[in-house]
This record gives sequence, structure tokens and C-alpha cells, in this order.
Amino acid sequence: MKVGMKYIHARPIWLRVCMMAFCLMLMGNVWMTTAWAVESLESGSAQKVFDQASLFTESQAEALEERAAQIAEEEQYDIAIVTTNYTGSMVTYEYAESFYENNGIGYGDNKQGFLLLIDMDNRQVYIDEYNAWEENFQLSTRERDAILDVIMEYAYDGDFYGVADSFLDELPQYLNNGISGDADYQYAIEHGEPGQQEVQEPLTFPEAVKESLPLAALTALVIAGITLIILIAVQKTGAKPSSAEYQKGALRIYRRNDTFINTTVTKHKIETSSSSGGGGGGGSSHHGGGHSGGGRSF
Amino acid sequence: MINYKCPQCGAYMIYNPAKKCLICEYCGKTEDIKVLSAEEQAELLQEAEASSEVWEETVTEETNGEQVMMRHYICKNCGAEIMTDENTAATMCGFCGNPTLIEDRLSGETRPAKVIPFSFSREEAIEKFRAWTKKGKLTPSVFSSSASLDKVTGLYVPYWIYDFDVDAQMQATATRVRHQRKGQYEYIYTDHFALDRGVEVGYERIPADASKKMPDDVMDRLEPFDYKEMVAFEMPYLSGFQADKYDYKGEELESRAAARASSYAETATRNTMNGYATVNVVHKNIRPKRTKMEYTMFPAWIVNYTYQGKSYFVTMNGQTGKIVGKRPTSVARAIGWFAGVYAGSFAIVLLILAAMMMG
Repeated sequence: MKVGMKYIHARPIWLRVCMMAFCLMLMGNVWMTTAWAVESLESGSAQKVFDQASLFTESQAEALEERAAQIAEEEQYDIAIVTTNYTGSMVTYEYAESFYENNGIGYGDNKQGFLLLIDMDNRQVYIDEYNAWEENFQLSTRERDAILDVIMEYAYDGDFYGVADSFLDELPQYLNNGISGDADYQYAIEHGEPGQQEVQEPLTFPEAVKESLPLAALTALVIAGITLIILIAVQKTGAKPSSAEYQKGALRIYRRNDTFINTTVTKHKIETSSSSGGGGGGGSSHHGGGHSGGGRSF
Repeated sequence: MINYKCPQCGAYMIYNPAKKCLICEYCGKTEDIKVLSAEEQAELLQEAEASSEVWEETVTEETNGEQVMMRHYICKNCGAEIMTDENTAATMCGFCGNPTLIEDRLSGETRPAKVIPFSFSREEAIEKFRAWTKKGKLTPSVFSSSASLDKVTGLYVPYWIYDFDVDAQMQATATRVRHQRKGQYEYIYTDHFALDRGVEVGYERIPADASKKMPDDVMDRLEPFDYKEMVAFEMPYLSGFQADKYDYKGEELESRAAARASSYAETATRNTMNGYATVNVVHKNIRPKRTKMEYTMFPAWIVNYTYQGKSYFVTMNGQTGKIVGKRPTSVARAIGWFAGVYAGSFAIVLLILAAMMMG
């Protein structure tokens, strides 16, 4: 602006007015674009790919943008792909969650959606899920781990476009075919993770038999062992009689007091719990409202 | 010494469990068990004492090195020497089989109040034993055929039976748990209670065996006896069987029976504390009080047999036929069963699991 001001002095009035108008337009443009990006439309945020670390080429970013937008439209949940070189004082999951919330990501009233973060600062790939209360949109820990298994291969090779691209491949599959339900939320504490099934091709009979061999062997061992123990025990005869044999009449309860003392309460927050899967550590998230996610280092 | 002679032919009479009376093995004459009055009893005792030839001597028992008082009697039938230890109340002459009762071990303080007579004969006892040897999936098949009976002894075992009134007091802490879900939170409510119980319960005729030489553990497992068949004691029931008088007096065994009564009462009281997730007993006070004590004799068969060169014995309840003993285990059969069950369950479980995985 200071540069511009120098020229306004020296030029005729019509030029000054033009320049100021141009400056105003520029500012207006920037403001409008930002507003538009931040505004959460019915179909989620307008921008899907935030390549702050410049990991993608223009055409790659465009391709990802298109695909993400298409999936968001079809499936009715938002998808954002974010890369960054610097997370400041935040750890990976904090950055992902705050990015999600501050950039208008999210579909519909619930603002439900997924965010894939490639964090070059902490060298982690993180998948965040927000407000996925709808049955179809819940990702169990197992499913998230399965997605990570696939996309991390690209991260280890340094192919970050591959990470994002394969993420867009994998995510819809799990969400459409996975089984989910209220059971996840009710007993997440006790069981540690929602019990969703992984999607698999149905097994053929010989394959199923091979899979079952070790468990069948172990079970048969236990059954045979118990049977043997019982049979050996039966060799010794003569059991002691029960007390009922000698009891004379009925009990007489002459004093019976059950006194209530107090009630203690414990409170647990129910969330779809998250943890890093095998192969390398990773962040886990119980932060903020409605977020859940998991990640892995590369 | 008392012997029961057949009035018809003079041979000796023994108690027949099936007919429940005295029977002469020689001519078949039967005689009912007479309930003697006090005077008649006294008379009988006097007669017996007068006609007995007896002397005592102290002998060291071979089996456990203890000093035992042995008594020698002259058999009234054949004149042979009958040896008895200090507790023998009824026995048979080793030479002529003459059933003999030793009256001063069955009178006064040592006279039992009640008796459960044998309810089946020696032949039946042997049959029951044979049936027992055949049972058991792991029993070697030769056990039944090659186990040879050495001796089958019908023995009246001395018991004291007790009635107790037990007062049981128990205090415990207990909890009940409830769950409630409100929005994103799950609340677990634990209600804490203090439980207090005062219970009175009675136990009758808890038996404790009064014989030193019979192992308590085996005797306890012979139980239960059916007290409906318990009758007032009369000496003829013992004719033809061995019998021992008690080694321990009633007071000496009381604590053993009291402990049983207490443990029964404790379990019963604990079982009144229901409807809770957890119960923790913090204090208990169980007081048994003996209300009755009786000296009785209960029937048992001791079956001695030899199998593969070694001697074993089982004890059989002479009233119910319940056998307390251990059958040998055939290693071959055990392996066979294990392998068979393993193979079968492996196949079934494998099919079920495979079907589940495919389904």
C-alpha cells in the first residue's frame, strides 16, 4: 500500500481514483473469497484441498479437489485434505481438529466430515472424523487402521499425492459397507472400541477351514481335557452329603436389616475410542466435542 | 458272652437283613427280635457273665506299635480261643463261626441307644461290589474279572449323632450397580448397603464316627444314612456281624460335629443375603448349641480285594449300598478317550467355525 501511495501523490486525480478503486477491489476480492471458503454450504466447504505444504502439483491438487467434491456431494459428508509444514505449538490431532473447525469444513447442520492431514512438521498422517453420529458415517478403529494400512504405504515412499488419492479411494468403501450401530456408543468404555465388522470378501470353504484350524485345535484340546478330568474324577466314588440332609425344618431369620448407606457415582465420557494401530506409534484423539481420529507416523 | 441258639436244632442264629429277624442257617427257623425290658436285659447280662470264660492280656499291636488290651474268650460252641481287641463288641469264632456278642461292651454306658440294621445280605453286597467294578469309562476291562475278593466283612461302626441349634449372626457390606447414559456420558451408580442377619437354624442327627481305626474321611463319605430305618438297639441285630464299641466318648467328638453344624449354618445365613452385585462378610458369630447326643451303630461292609498283586479295599454303606472307594484307571483307556473326544470335537468345532466365517 505504501508503494501505491507514492504514486498517488504524483499522478493526476483520475489515476488516483482508479488506483484506490483497484486497491479496494483487491481487498474486497480477498475478503469475499475467504468468506466464501469459510461459509459452510449445504455441500460442505467449497475448498477441499488445502495444500499448505505444497506437496501436490497443480494438476494433482485439482484432481483431488474434484474427487473430494464429488464424494462429498454423493455421500453427504465433507472431505478435506490438508497438508502443512508447521503446526506451531499444537500436536498433530489438535491441528487437524482446529483446522476443521476454523475452516468451515463439514456437511449439513451437523458439520459432519472427514479430514486427512499430512503433517510434515511432526511427520504424521492423521485421519480426523467429526460429528459422525449418523450410522453410515462412523469409522471404527479397525476400519481407520485398515485405511491407514493402505495409505501409509505411499507416505513411506514419500508419495503424498498417493496418500491423498488412496484415501479418497478407501474412505467411501468403508463407510458404505461397514456395519455400525448404537452398540458402539453404549459400551465403548467397557469394550474399548466399537465393534464394527471389517469389509471382506466372503471366504470359500477351504479358506474358512484353514482359518479355523488353530482355534478348533485349541477348543478340542480344552474339551478333551475337561472330559478326561471328569472321567478320572468319576473313578473315585462316594461324595459327601449336602447340608440339607441334616437341617431340621426351616431357617428362622429373627433379625434382618439391609441398610442403605450411600451411592457413589463414576462418570465416563463415551466416545468412539481411537488408538494407533500396529506398525509405529501415532496420535489418538479425545479432544473437543464430536471429534475422533487416529494417525500414524512416517 | 451272648450267643443266640436255635430252639429247634441248637445251631446258632444270625440276623437276616431281608427277613429282619434271627434265622437259623441250619434248619431255617426264624425268631423275631425281642425288645427286652430293663429287667430282662439285666437278667441276660448276668447269665452271660456267669457263663463266660475270659482272661485279659496286654499285647503290642503289630500294625502301629500301640499297646492294646486284648481279651481272650473260650468259644462256647467249639472251645477254641476267640481273640478280641478292647473295642470288639461282636465277632465270630474263627474256627466254628459261632456268632458271639460281648455283653459288657454293649451294656451300661456302652450300650447303643439306636442301631441301623444291615438292609441287604452278604451275597447282595458282593453283587453290588461286582457291579461297581464294571462301571467307569476309564476302568480297565480286566478289573471286573480279575479282582479277586479276599474278604467281605459286615461291620457295625460306632457313631455318635448330635442335634444342634445354631445361632448365626452375620454382618456384611454389599453393593448394587446401575448404569445410566445421559448424552455423551455414562454414569455408573454404586449403592452401598450394610447387611445384618440373625438366624436360628436346627440340625439333627449329624453323625461322627467314633472308631479310631476307621478313617474319618471315608466314614463321612459313607453318609447319608436313612434314619427312617433307625430302630431302638437290641443285641440280636449284631448276631453274625462284627461290631466295635466307641473309642471316643460323645463329648470328645462333639466339636467335630459342631464344626459341621456351624459351617452349614454359616452357608445358610450367607444365602439369605441375595439381590446384590457383591457381598462382603465383615463379621460373623456362629454359636452351635448341642441339644441331643446319642450313641448308635451303623452298618458297613468292608470289601478286601486283590488286583494285580496288590490289596485294596472299599467301604460300602450297609444300608444304602453306597460305595466309597477308587477304581483303577487304565492308561490305555484314558488315552483312547482323550484322542476320541479330541478328534470328534475338533471336527465339529472346525465345521462350525468355518461355517461361521463363511456366513
